[in-house]
Amino acid sequence: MNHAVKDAAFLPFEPLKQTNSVINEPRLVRWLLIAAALGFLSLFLLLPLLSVFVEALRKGAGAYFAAFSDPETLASIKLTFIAAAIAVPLNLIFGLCAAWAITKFEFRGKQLLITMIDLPFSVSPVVAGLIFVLIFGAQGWAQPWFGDHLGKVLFATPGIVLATIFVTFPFIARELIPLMQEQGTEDEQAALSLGATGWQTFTRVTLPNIKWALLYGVLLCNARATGEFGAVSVVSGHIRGLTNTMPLHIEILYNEYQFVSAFAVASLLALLAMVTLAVKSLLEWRYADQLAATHRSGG
Amino acid sequence: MDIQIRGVQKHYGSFHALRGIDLDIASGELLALLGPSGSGKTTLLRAIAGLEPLDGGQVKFGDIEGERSRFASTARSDRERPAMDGRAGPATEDYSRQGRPDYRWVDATHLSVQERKVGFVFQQYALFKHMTVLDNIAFGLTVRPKKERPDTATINKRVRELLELVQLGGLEKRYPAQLSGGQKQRVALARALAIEPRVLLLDEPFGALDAKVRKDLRRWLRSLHRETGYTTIFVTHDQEEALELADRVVVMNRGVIEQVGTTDEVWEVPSTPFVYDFLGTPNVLPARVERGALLLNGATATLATAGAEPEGPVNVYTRPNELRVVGDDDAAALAGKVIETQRTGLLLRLGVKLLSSGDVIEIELPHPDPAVQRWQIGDGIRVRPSRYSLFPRAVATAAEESGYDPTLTVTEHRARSRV
Repeated sequence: MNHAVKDAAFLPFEPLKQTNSVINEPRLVRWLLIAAALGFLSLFLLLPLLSVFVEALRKGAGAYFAAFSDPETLASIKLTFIAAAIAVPLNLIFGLCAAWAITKFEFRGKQLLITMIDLPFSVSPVVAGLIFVLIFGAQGWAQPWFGDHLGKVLFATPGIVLATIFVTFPFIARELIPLMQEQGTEDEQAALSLGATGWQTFTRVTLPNIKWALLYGVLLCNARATGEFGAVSVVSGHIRGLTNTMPLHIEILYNEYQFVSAFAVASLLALLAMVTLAVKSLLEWRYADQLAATHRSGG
Repeated sequence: MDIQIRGVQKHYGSFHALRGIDLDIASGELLALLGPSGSGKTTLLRAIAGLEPLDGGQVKFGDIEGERSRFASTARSDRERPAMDGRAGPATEDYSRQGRPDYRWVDATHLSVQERKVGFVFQQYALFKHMTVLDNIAFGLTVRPKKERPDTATINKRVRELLELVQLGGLEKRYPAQLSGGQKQRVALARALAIEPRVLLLDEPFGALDAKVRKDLRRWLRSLHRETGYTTIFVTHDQEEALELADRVVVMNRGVIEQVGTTDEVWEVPSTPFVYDFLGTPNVLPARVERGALLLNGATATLATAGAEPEGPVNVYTRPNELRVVGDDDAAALAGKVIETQRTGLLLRLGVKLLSSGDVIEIELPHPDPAVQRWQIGDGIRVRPSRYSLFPRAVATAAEESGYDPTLTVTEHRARSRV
């Protein structure tokens, strides 16, 4: 950590606050704008989030923790993490490959590939789930072969993993592509000209250049993988203790009027999201100078 | 290391970037590839480095075997002397070296960039942002396979030596973001030198720097070249930079070499209108050769006897400083009227409108001391080119296969604009 850099990074905060007379609005306008922003934020984000925890703790901490001792709840938590643990690394590898191919090579069909990566963003998750039902369902064309060789896909863990991979497909690639496009290939060319092998170039030059974007991508991908409802709901079959992920389990509990349990599991999901955000902010704060350095062009 | 380039071709889609380049580069020389953007100079540099796969032609490296054992043993070698054609030979022609029995020419056309072991300095430096200056310079050594890799102490020692060489001692712990442009440039250079390259290739080495730093670095690079003796090739679009720094200059335009020569040769005897135009701002006067006499358009008197020039329309190229003011008794002189005077430092620039054709030409004179006549707007003046070159105009239009040649359009346009 160098002091000069750190000072430079924090310098803008001081003068921008008060002294810039050009952007100095009347006190009332300023106050109204801030109040509107904060009010909106509290009404639509903080209040619902808070209510989750309030509802979960309505009957005391004992009832709250009792909700987690239910084997079906535990099974749903486990399944969620299994799905995420498979989907995130796979998307990590795919995202890296896709971003690398798109930004470092010229090839036919590149634009098509970019569009295809975005497909899961534009397709409704329910449709995504239905795709797998059509492929692996009782009448699906792939089911006879898969059923014989690899066991059940639909209404089982593989189906849930597939659906999760589908909906979280774009996150890491989308995070990497703009950054890698901006960085170009000169660093890689320099490394190669200095005698590095392709692998050395990737691990020692490319990866350090993109590690922050990659980490954000993984965090976002993970958040979506654990929270996915629509696509997973279609392929899951809602078999208790077997094919219910946390979001699905929450819905079932809620529909059965087990509000405390429902909100307890929901609070766990919300907590996961908040931890993700916290980790992201912490990393941003801790490595601010490095981040700035990676984004500075021509450095 | 000597480099021999033969018939090198490169296309980018429909754009023909290199149209059959032949070039010989001698060991130890400092060569400039000079040309406007799109002339193919950077492509040629990258082709030598192996960063650009070729569509045709050959790149050969010539070296004394054993000096680069790894290289010589992995590549096919064939012995031959480079064919030095009628063009100006390299400034440091070293036939005794090439005559040695252990001297080898190696076809490098299909060698990868790693195998070529060239030191390439990128225009934007391409320093690794997440590494310190020390790690950047050491990179080429630390990525070597284990049995070839020097130990850490040796690497550190080598890096310190290089830092001293590029005058950046004490900055090894800094990150690239904490360096100025000139410092980054020198780190990039030290990083390229660390692998003991066979040849040093610099892409627009001073392009991203401001004028003052650029001048200093230029001088410094010249002395560095003298000290280290590396064969060095650099790309530039700045004629001043090329002429000041290089031993020899390769002037390129639209994928072909227009002229190769020492800095004196390309400046004194430009071989094509393009070179004339690119090195300075010549006056272009439309004229014709008739029965062995050179006649400017609109003029009645013969400017000179044309000698061996073919009959027909020509352009007379003459630089502003090659025009002399002469007295009334010189019948062949061009009569004109001063329409503009401008003093720049020690030079006086005159805009002169020729009476015969109405063309406006520019003249550069040493700024007169008070005793000499001062030129005023409206003064009559008689000038005569002390040096000039003739280029036939008809050939100019037929020369290009594509039918469009911006350089010639420029001259034609200029000629027209003065009529």
